[in-house]
Amino acid sequence: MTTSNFDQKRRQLDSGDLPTLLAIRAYGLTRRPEELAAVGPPLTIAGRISREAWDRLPERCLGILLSFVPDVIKVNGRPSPVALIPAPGRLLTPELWSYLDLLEMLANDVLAARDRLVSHR
Amino acid sequence: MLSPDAVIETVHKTLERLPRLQARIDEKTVKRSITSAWPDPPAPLILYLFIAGSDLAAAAAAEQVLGSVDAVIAVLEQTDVVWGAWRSTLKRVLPPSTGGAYSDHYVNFQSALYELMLAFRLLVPKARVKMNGELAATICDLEVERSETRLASASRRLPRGSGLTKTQARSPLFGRHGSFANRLPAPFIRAERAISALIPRPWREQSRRC
Repeated sequence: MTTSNFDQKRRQLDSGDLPTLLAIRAYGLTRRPEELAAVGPPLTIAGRISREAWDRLPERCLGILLSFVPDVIKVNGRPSPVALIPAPGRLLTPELWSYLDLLEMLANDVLAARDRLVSHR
Repeated sequence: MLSPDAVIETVHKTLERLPRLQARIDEKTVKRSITSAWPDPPAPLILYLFIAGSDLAAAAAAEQVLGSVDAVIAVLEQTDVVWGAWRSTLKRVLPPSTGGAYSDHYVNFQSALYELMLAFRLLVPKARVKMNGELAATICDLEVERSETRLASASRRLPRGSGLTKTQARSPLFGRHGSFANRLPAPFIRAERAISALIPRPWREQSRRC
């Protein structure tokens, strides 16, 4: 997110009038895929991402969808694992929260923090 | 010793289990993809087809990826739950008819495959996903919108509203394995490792036991 080749993604994420999400194929973030299993829950990951990196996301972008098994639809009959990493200080709309909940992309720590992650409108 | 003919034969045997892919990949493309790159690995999807039909450890993982692509094609052809520029995205997943090696097509293949799978992962009842395609440089890759299309397992519904969110896909390459400079069979083994790494180890072990 802090490299120059992210500029185009940044513009795309700032387009239109809907909230946006950045989906990332997790394999490829590291040369050691086994690290992904120990990377921690989403709010921990959010805290480990630098402020500089978060600031590169336009305000319209409310978080990252981290795909752990990106090249298949299902794993053992379940939707392939994807986790929302909420952008710090940005509020999801109730509609977007419901949608992500339906998609089973909200991990336990994120669900427990609903009150401070969702706008009250 | 692995030969081009043996690889071609294995690819065709795998394709027999994947009717939608078989319908979209002709014999000439398979042959050209393998022979034009030899002794380097062929275009990624052809390599996956070979690995799925081999006794390499990543065969099950490759089969899962190919099965997903085959299923996705069926849904794309028969419904409009995912619509828009899916044909151009699918074209980037399929092997080019002009041939070319794995390393020439890997980046494009990987990002297109991710976009395709992500479009389906973003589906919920009463919603559909529009794919904007690679030419849409100023808008997001995918748009989720409310739809009247019913899915078989619809039980909960999206809130009202025509648009819900837009998603931009990113496929970083920091973990990409090195170029395939070595001669066979080493390149194929390296590619096998790359595919294995796509799937978390616990799931790989579980899928092997099943």
